[in-house]
Amino acid sequence: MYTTGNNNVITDDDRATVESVINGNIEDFALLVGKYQLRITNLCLKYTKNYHDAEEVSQESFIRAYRSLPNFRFDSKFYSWLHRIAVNCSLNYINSKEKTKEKETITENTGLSDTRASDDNPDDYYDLEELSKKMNKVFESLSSELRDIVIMSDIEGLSYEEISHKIDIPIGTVRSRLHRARDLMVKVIKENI
Amino acid sequence: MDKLKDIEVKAIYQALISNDYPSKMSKSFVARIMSKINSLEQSSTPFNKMVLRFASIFIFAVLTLYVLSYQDNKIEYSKTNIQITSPSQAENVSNQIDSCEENKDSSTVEKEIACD
Repeated sequence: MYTTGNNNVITDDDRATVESVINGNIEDFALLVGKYQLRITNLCLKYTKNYHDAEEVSQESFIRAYRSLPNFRFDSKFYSWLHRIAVNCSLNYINSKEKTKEKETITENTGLSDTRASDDNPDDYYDLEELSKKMNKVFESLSSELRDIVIMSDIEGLSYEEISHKIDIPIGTVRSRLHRARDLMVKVIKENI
Repeated sequence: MDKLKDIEVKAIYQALISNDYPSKMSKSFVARIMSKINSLEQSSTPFNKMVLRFASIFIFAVLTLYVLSYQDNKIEYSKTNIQITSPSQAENVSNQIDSCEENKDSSTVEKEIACD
């Protein structure tokens, strides 16, 4: 439905963080995990079709990325590189799952892998569906001026300059309106996590 | 820690606004990964590597000594010398035929003698 644009709240430049991790500041890797955990887990979910497995594959992807970080040459963006690792891990998962399925068919032990789903403790997870509803309410309550800016910037991915040209307002106004709108929506997230 | 929280909040905002998110998000995801990474790092420090190397050398040496001593005990030496009886190398096929011919001849002689 929506596409992630170029003018993200999260900048794509991870060079400083990656270099810091390579230089021995291991704890900085947490910043990269925190930044990309949702995108990577959601990517893995497209392959695994199961949240628990997606989380496991995603975890494996981050650990593999950490191990291979000294080989990262900055030829591409860190996220693109991480994305490739996650896709490979997901494909490995599918292959191993198929092998397990074959074994299960032979031993007639089907359905064992889904038993973990019931072990969920809701306190260990943030309900993003619920959070999305709350954020949408705030979004709907925004004035049309603020809403338009959010759509153009965070959904369509236009730059401040492009927005400024499109609706004929100064770049400073674009920036301040966007800041105000984001603050209101981020506040809802902060209150819920 | 505040920086991490701030990054997580921005990541959630980005995911929700672009409608690209899973239904839930683990609260301890980052902590779990970092603890795994820390344990990986601890097991691969130079000191641990050296300890592992020395331990493997020690175990290998002990095993080798044990195997060697075990084999020594099992060998029982006989009190007498082992005598190897090998077939005589002088005889070949033609010799055998010759000797056979001689035997044949001698047997006929004996028969002849016996007949006599």
